[in-house]
Amino acid sequence: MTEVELELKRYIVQEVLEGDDQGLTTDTPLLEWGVLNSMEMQRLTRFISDRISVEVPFEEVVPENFMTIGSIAALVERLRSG
Amino acid sequence: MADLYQCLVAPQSMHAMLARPLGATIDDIARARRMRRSMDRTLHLSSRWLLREVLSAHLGSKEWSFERTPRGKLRLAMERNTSDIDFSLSHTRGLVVVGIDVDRKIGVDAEDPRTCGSCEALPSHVFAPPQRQSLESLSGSAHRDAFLRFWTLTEAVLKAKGTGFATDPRRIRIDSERNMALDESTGKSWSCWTWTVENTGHVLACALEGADVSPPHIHRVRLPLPNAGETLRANRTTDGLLLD
Repeated sequence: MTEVELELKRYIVQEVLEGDDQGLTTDTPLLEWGVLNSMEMQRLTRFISDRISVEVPFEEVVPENFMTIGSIAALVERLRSG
Repeated sequence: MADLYQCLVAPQSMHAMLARPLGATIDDIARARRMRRSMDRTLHLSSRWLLREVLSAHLGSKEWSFERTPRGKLRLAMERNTSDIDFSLSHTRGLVVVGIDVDRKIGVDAEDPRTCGSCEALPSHVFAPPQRQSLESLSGSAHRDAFLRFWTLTEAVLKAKGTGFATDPRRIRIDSERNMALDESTGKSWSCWTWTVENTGHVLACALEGADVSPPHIHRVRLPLPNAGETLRANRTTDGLLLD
């Protein structure tokens, strides 16, 4: 996992899954598994802003960008480089 | 006239629903199996059951099938979608809600205050400036209650629009006293209401297209599941594939 992916995984395990790892990988389908809902997605964008210093515009808070840890990390990298 | 159906899903309903999912299709069960937590599976199956019951009550009994728009809003599969009917679905721990209207766009949202975490963790950055200012003057349970009212109202409008949070939620200005919301991105007005469910404290909201619209008629529905003894017998006969 990349540093961003590890940071995202740590947040999701601690803040969303209350410490239960559930075997999360970069490809775990977070929306299909019911791990993330709309409120968790907004909390996660605030975490990304506070901890990773990347602002996620609201138009990017769409299901395809939050399907997996990998897709969220790809969004972060895209916003960082853009 | 819109209708809103609310159905409590008690923890003791979980095993009965997962053992014998009410009216579930193969797709419903396949999707439920992909979810990790029993309660999520139960809520998914309960919400699909309630939605089919509501559609059949309003449009006549059929085998309903659904699809999602590119923005994730659930709708009737195209071959069935011959009317202007709109519906919206929400579930949170312990509650499923379906809103339906025959000629207006409708959105519903429900939240369980017990799953929201601390006040500091609430994502208030999504709100329009007046809502954020209003929250800043509150603390404790008053802050949380106001947050949940604003959140459910905002999300109900975004779900009715069919865009979700791809619309900048800060452009949705809530006027709770007038039961109105203004979408500044389009200039459109929405009528909206929130309620707190007696005994459980769940907060739910409904938004309807247009100004000065009558509030929806609220119906309370029970899951027709077996009692505790029958549940145990049902569990002994199931293959348990949906259970943890």
